[in-house]
Amino acid sequence: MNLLDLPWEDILCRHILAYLDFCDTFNMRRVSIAAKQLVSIHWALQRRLNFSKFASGFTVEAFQAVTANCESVVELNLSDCAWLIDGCLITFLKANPMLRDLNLTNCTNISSSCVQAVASHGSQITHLSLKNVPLAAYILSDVFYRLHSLEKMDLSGCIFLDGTLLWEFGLKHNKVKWLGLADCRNITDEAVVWLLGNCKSLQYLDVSNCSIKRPLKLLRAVLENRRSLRLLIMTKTQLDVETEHHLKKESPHLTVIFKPPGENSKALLRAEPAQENQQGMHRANIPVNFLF
Amino acid sequence: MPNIKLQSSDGEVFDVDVDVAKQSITIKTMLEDLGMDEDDDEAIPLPNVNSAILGKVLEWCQFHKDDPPPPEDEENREKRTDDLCGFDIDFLKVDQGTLFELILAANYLDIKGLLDASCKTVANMIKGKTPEEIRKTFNIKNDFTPAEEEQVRKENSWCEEK
Repeated sequence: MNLLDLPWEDILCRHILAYLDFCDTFNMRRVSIAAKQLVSIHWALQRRLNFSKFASGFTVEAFQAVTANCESVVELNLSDCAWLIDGCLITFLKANPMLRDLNLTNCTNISSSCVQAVASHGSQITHLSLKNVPLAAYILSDVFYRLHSLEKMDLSGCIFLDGTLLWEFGLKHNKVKWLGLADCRNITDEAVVWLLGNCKSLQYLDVSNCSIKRPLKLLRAVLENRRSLRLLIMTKTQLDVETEHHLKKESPHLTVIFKPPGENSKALLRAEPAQENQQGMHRANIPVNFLF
Repeated sequence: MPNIKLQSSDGEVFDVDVDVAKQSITIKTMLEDLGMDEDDDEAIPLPNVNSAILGKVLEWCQFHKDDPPPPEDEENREKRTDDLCGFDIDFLKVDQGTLFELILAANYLDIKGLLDASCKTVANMIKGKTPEEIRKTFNIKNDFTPAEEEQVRKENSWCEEK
């Protein structure tokens, strides 16, 4: 008996190729015609694809080889894949209508029309990251309008996002639970306060390096409106020592992070509302009865 | 401990502790569904497993009889292959034919721990190898035409340049 005599889907794909990374599976498919067919079947069975570990050096041809027969992918992570171009992503989106989670963080080579294709074909998308993707305002508006089920959205670094667009977003997606707005310099206190009042399901909000001129007013709005909010990140925000002291008081309900030290800020910006990702960060818990 | 009898495809009967045999979900289900008594003289036939492999499988089950049940959530589990215990590493130092027969037997008998360990061993035989090294390891012939080979080489260029 030889390796390729084992049952392909039940054993080789599910229990052996599942332990191999892309580099190993690509080497496997170069072995023989049968091995290439085996790897094609393995890739076609995938429901989750993560290219972010191989962001540098990967090619469009390799992406097309992996995704050629995929039809049931629900999660696609293309974070930092600067090699990604419109054509291959649009083809993928058309073939995978069940896609729910799409991460395009730092995909700087895709165009606005590609993001419009995301809006057109991604009707099932609930998690979308467009962090640092260069997008015009009308494209963002189109995305907000066409997608219906967003629960998690990362718009960090979308420099054209402003209060009007955030209003459009908040009206359409008032069930959103996770929202990243870091480095959106056109987002002001007023827009965030309105958002907090409108999106009652929000659990995570990052407004780091937004134009927050009156952080105390914002925190007051948080205390008044928070129903679900568990984690508010507002780094690079000026807070006085007294406020900081008060914020450190214990409260089980809400955590505010406002001063990540140095390099740890990168980890912070990826943080989920879970304790293990916040180690080493400067955080403050707001007591329930805290008065400003 | 009560024993049961298992009969291999070549007719050999193994007298086995019930708790050892019940690591096989297939055997456990047979005992439950067929209402077979644990002290029944009748042997459970296992037509897909020969005596040499069944003996090895039972050796593995004997060693692992006190292991906790394997986790159910396979999809979200970390895909590691460097976590085999010392016994499994030594136990699976067998020729490829035996290793593949053990995989088939573990799959048929539904013994998750043995299936995982034997498949991880095969995965480790592929990991980090070039296509030529994989061919040599598993005695597979390169049957690509030059044109096909050029196409697949082009798609592989990203990992060959590293």
